[in-house]
Amino acid sequence: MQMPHIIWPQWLPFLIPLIGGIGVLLFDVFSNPESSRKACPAGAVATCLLALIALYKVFADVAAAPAYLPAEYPVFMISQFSRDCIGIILLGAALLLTLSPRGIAGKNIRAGEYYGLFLLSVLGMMLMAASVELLTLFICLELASLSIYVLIGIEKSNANSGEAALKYFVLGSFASAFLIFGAAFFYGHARTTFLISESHQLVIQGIAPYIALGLILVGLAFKLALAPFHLYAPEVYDGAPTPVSALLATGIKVAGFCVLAQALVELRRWDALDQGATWALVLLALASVIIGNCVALVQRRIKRLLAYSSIAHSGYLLLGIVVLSDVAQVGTPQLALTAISVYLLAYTLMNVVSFGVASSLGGRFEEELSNYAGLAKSHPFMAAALTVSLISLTGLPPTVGFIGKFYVFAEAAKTSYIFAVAVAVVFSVLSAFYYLNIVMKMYMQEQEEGAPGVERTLACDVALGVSMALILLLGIAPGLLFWMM
Amino acid sequence: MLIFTYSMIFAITIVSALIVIVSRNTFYSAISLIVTMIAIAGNFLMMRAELIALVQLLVYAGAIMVLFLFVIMLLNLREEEETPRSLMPRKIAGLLLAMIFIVQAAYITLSIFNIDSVRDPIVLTEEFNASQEKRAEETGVNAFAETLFTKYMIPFELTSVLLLAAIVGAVAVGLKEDKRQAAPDAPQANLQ
Amino acid sequence: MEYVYSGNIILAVLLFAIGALGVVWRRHAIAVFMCIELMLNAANLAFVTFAYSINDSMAAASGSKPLDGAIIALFVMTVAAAEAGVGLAIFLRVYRQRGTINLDEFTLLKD
Repeated sequence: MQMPHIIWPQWLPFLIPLIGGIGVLLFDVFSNPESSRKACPAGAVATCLLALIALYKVFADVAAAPAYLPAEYPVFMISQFSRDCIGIILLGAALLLTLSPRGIAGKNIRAGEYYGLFLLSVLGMMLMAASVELLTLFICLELASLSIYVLIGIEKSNANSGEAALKYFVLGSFASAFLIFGAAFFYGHARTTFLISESHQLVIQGIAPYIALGLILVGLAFKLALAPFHLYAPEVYDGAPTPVSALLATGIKVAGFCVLAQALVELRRWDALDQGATWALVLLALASVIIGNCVALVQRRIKRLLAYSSIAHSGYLLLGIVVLSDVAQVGTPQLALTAISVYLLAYTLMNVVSFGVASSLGGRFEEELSNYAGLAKSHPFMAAALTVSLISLTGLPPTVGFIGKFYVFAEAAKTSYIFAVAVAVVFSVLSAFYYLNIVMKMYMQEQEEGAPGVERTLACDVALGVSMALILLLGIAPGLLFWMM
Repeated sequence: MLIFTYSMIFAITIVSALIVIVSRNTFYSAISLIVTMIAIAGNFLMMRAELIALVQLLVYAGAIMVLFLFVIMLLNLREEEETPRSLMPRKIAGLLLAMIFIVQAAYITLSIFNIDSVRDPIVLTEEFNASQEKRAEETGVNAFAETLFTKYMIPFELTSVLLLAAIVGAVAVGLKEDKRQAAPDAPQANLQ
Repeated sequence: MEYVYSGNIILAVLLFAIGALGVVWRRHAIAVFMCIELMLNAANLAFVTFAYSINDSMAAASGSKPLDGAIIALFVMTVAAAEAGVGLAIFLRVYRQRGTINLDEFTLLKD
């Protein structure tokens, strides 16, 4: 067997974050803290944007036929869907990196380590979204997770940060063990570790492969914070530095859902999944929707509320994926996958804005919800941004959140899972209570005494403004999405 | 004779693994885990996976477990303090979880593998010897290296990135607070 | 030799079960992490056993070789080593700050 023939331009979108990450780490070593605090975020944002451009240049025509990398042993597959997912991850990461200097200011964090690990973690997520082989998936997931464990615990003077890192580490490696054990049994049954490949089709016979796939699903469901594997999420999101919580809520979930959606569509294409397994997935999704929305109602801390809201949204996404892979069986899978990628884009933008507002305001605004009373008077721009993102999270027009939810639910309503969709819609309406409660607080209530002003930074305004504009623009003219993708 | 050796290794693996989870002293757990890992290396040897048995001994029993022991010594943890709070539900949940896997093990025993095939291959035939030699050639160090650096080149390169992230991460999270870093941030912190 | 293969698969499942049980039972972060290592070892054992139990006709049909499992096991060991490095650093950092790494003691983030 020969060494794989590496076509370098094809790897460019993945090499850029790698080189950028190592570059940021090295720059920090050879420069003084003050200049690295300014240059590292700029370099990191530039890296993400460059990688985004390279991604769409290199893989411009994957819609016709997906690209396999490397050709001899295709562990990565760039289809239109996984390309768009990687694009969403990079866009989200670029916005979060722009928000980061403000988000980690005054927290005694060394810039080089933070931005370097952030980029390596984004690289892990990108590769994870592209991987179709279980061993590679495991390594990429670990690359993303290990960097995130460290990013959560990087705030040395804060005891919460360390506690969150410890909890996420213990539970995260527990979940990884499930994933790899499932992969072992998958290998034992299928004699291959490829989930998707050009050359063979998956055959599922008997109960043994279901055990294997179930164990893999447990490992992934943990990273996606699906109920009942969500228990860590509120605590970890609350304890981590806010931009890192946002990365946890967006990047790794987009990557995980990309893998899950492609694997499900592939299994469906070969008609390999039976009805019972599908219903188990639907129940998992409904559990997340119900638990996420109900518990979010009684939350008093902003990041915990956003954590439960992201659990609920994971539920909608999983429901969408299961139901749409059902549609994909009869029709073309591409349409269903496009619906999912629209929802993932909407989800990423909304979470970037809501976590971004909390991190930009900083201090007490990262804690109790009651601190948001009267925000519209003291910080009208921040209040407007948060309002737009909360309306979008609720799924009301004219925002991209509405387009995403409408698209997924409308497609899903045509299938036999109409009951599950109805439940999801009911709980989606319920979610308006806690989302709009914050909006009401900001606009209707009076500010408490002695609120300190925050220093606004241009970077935060730009990042929040861009995401807010995207949420509204794509909500008003969804046709732009298809032009963009 | 082989079946006797194998039974011994099987028993040692299970018993030492049980000691890992039952022992109240973290230090004993770690020592017992080393025994489990050596026993698993024995299992690999039984399957004639010599190289992986060697790596298991060197990397797992040799390096990773020594790291564990270092940390245990560093933290000076002798007895594990047992908090009585909410212990029963957890034990029951754990047992339920374990039961699922034990049922799985029973299922595998009954279905996937043929029970009739459990026989002692002490009478080695010519054919069996030949197949064993072929197997040894297929899985030798040469073949191992060749496959690792051709077919598995991309995962191999990925692990180098993973190790880089792990090294930087361990330093970033493990180093003591840097006071010089804290100073320039202080005025900003007051503004919040 | 077949009994070695079937025995090892059962052993792997049992080790995984013991590890999972330990993660739920033990409260000491290092002990919990040792149980996770046990689970990863179980996965390794399963990989190598599945790969080596393949006979010639199966190998020809699927294109899978005994070596694949051994190499995957090697990768899993590498990942486990990286995980151990980061994990133990996190334990040290938390211990320095809080004076304990008993998981029951961590209630700052509980609502």
